[in-house]
Amino acid sequence: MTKPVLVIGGGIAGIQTAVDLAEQGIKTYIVEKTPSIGGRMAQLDKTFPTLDCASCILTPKMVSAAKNKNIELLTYSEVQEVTGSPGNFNVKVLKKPRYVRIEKCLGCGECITKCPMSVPDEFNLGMSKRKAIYWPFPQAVPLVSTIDSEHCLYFTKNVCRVCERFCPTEAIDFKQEPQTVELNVASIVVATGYQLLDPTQLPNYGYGKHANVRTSLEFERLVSATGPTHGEIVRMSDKKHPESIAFIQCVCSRDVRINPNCSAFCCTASVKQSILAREHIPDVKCTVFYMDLRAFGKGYQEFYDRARGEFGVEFVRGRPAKIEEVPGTKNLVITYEDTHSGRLTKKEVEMVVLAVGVKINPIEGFIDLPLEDDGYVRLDKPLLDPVSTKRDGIFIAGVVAGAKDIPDSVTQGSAAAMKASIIAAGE
Amino acid sequence: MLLHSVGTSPIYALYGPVTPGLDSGLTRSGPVSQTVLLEKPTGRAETEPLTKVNPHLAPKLQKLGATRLYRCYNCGTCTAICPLSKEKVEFPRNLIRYALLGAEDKLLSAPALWLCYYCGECSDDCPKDADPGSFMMAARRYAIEKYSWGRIASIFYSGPTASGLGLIALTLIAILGLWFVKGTPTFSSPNLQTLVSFEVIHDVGLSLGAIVGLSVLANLVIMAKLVRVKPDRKLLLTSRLRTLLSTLIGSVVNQSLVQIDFLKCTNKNRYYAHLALFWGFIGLAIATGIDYIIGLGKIPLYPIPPQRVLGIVSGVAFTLAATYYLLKRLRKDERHVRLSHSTDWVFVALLFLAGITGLLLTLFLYLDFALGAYSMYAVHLVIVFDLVVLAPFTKFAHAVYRPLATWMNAAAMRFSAQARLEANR
Repeated sequence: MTKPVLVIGGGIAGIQTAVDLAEQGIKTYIVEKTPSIGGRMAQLDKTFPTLDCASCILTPKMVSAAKNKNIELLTYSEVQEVTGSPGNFNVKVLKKPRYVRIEKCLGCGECITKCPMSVPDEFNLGMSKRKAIYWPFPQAVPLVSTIDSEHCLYFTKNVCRVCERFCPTEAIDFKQEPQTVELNVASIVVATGYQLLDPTQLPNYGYGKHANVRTSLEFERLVSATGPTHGEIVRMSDKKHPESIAFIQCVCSRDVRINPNCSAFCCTASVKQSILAREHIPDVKCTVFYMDLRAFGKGYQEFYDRARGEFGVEFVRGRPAKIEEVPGTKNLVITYEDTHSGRLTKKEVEMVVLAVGVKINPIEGFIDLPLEDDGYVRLDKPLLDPVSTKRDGIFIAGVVAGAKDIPDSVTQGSAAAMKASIIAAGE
Repeated sequence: MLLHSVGTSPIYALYGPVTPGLDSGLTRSGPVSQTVLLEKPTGRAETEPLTKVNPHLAPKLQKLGATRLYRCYNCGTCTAICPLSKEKVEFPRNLIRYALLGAEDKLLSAPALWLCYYCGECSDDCPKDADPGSFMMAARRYAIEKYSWGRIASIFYSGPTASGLGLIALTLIAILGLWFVKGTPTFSSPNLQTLVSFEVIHDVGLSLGAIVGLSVLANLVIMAKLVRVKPDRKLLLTSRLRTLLSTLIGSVVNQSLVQIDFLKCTNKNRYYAHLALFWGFIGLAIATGIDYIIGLGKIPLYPIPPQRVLGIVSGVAFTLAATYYLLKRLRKDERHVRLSHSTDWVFVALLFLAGITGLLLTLFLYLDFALGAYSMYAVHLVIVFDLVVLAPFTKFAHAVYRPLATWMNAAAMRFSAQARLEANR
């Protein structure tokens, strides 16, 4: 008799872990703190180096996880405490109230259309609005509405209840309370993922001050058909297509003052974004400022060569020192040294995309795992057992133990599933 | 699949050339008496000399204060953030590159070495904390060593022990010399003539001045050979001379008398202190010169002669500025003073002591305090002796290297502009 396994985090790494475990007949829980599984990959437009549409390859996996009888999704839930030992972990999970009965909600979206309250949409990084009752994104799994009690008029001002009135299945339940669930699992896989570092730590780049300086993730939303502009790459200052875009690498990465690590995927991600920009706006001039273009994965070098050759993207070796805004046009002047020619140069562009580095989502609050000095989870044997943590029976998958791209995260997900299954099997 | 049409664009060398002059085709052509020659690319090799590589250059610079040199990953942030770096006169990234490659001649012949005022913005913004500001300072220390004739400056730059022993030896020579020439001072009222006669001061001063002057000249010749400006052969001799003269005047006025580029640094206090020190020194030199010509001891206390007024005002400015520098180095509250080499201490301390003893000497003369005046005079003479003798071989030497570098740099810029104009015609 096998025991269940818990996967914390419902991103691509966690989904892969859960699906691989479930396929072996092992009961698996996915605890996901947001209303839907999917994670960061759901926010991406296309993936490198094949330029596959991210949603098109991710959503079938999300659905297969949701449909699998051996997988139980605990979305909008957070792990609160982990005790016990390998083979016998006790986990407390807090199920946050959605104020919507999952079993009744059909996902028709009537409530969303009728809700009068608009708030910044975190899925689009604040570049568009969503309602106070919402799906995080149209392909969400489970596709049920969630009421955001921080903004809902009923919770803030005790008025409205429009969603309740219009819901055809009476799924709205304002009386829902937080619920604590106790799970007993054999093993745990931590796949809690990452967040971007804060680029305002580099005031010379003017992020947050200059409207047309955006992060790589914001660009990803802009270029995505499901994004705030339905796939139109526009400047935030005037909603016009930029004629030139500069991509700046290693922002908050490989910088001892902020984060000494390489964030691994930004190089190829920017290569991809420059190609996407050229596909969306054929005349746009793209320049990538890099120090060492780390196209290390299979097919990545060729992808980079295509960007240079076929797509005419310019690559400049040099780390820009500052980005200044031109008052009238809101264009941006980049000051840098082209280290190949040795020339100090100023270049004016219409939009700047910062390839911002990453750090892990904090895990200290709910699971006790030794961390490295750089904040990532410490691995037991980084070379020969790269998914085992310092605690027996607890494994990792994805960025939580080091920045990595989608293929590597998926690989780790499968590896962690195998390790967890050995413990779940008992002997 | 979109991967089928993989392009064959060239893959560029990672670090490429450090400047357009030193091209990317760096290939080893084998060891030549412990050095390696970097072959120039074909085509123009007939005029350009080969670059010698000194593998000990970077470790040496580390010892001189560039402790984090090897952290550099060559990103160019320092060059782009530097308020003094400009198109065609870029630094410090390329100079760090020279150092790491061991291209010693390239480093020592770069006028840019002396254009830096160490405001520290490069170090504040360096993503690797490689401290380019300290590197520039260390490279200047190395240059002072290498520009000095007979490499005499090496004594003072090889470490605090040698530096200290050298200073002690020099001070002992001065004290012995003073003991040897001293007369019988009258204690009823201070008369400096009675401690050391004017004739002795005159003779010693002149010969010392000649030796130091010749040393400075020899050093400048060594530097000028390295930092050589090569005007286009097509330019007329008269136009070459005119350019050299006009750039000389320009750089003396802007870079020495006003030190205009120092104002581009964020901390303006350092600029005022440096200017006070510079003009204080000039004022003191003029006042002393006048005294010297008229004859020491023949000048009355009252009415206070004009050169003494100039001397006192200059001395106060000079001493205040020296105090500022001394306190800064003690407090280490800014980047440029955090790492002090022994030679920095020697220089700043000598400046301060020369200033303060001079002022006290004047004060005691007017207070008619004989013992005080004589002792201050003795100490002042010893300190000034140290300062003057050491001038060509210590930090003081920047006072001549910086003007030469700014001049050569300005001339080189003008020549290249003229050559371009000529080519376009």
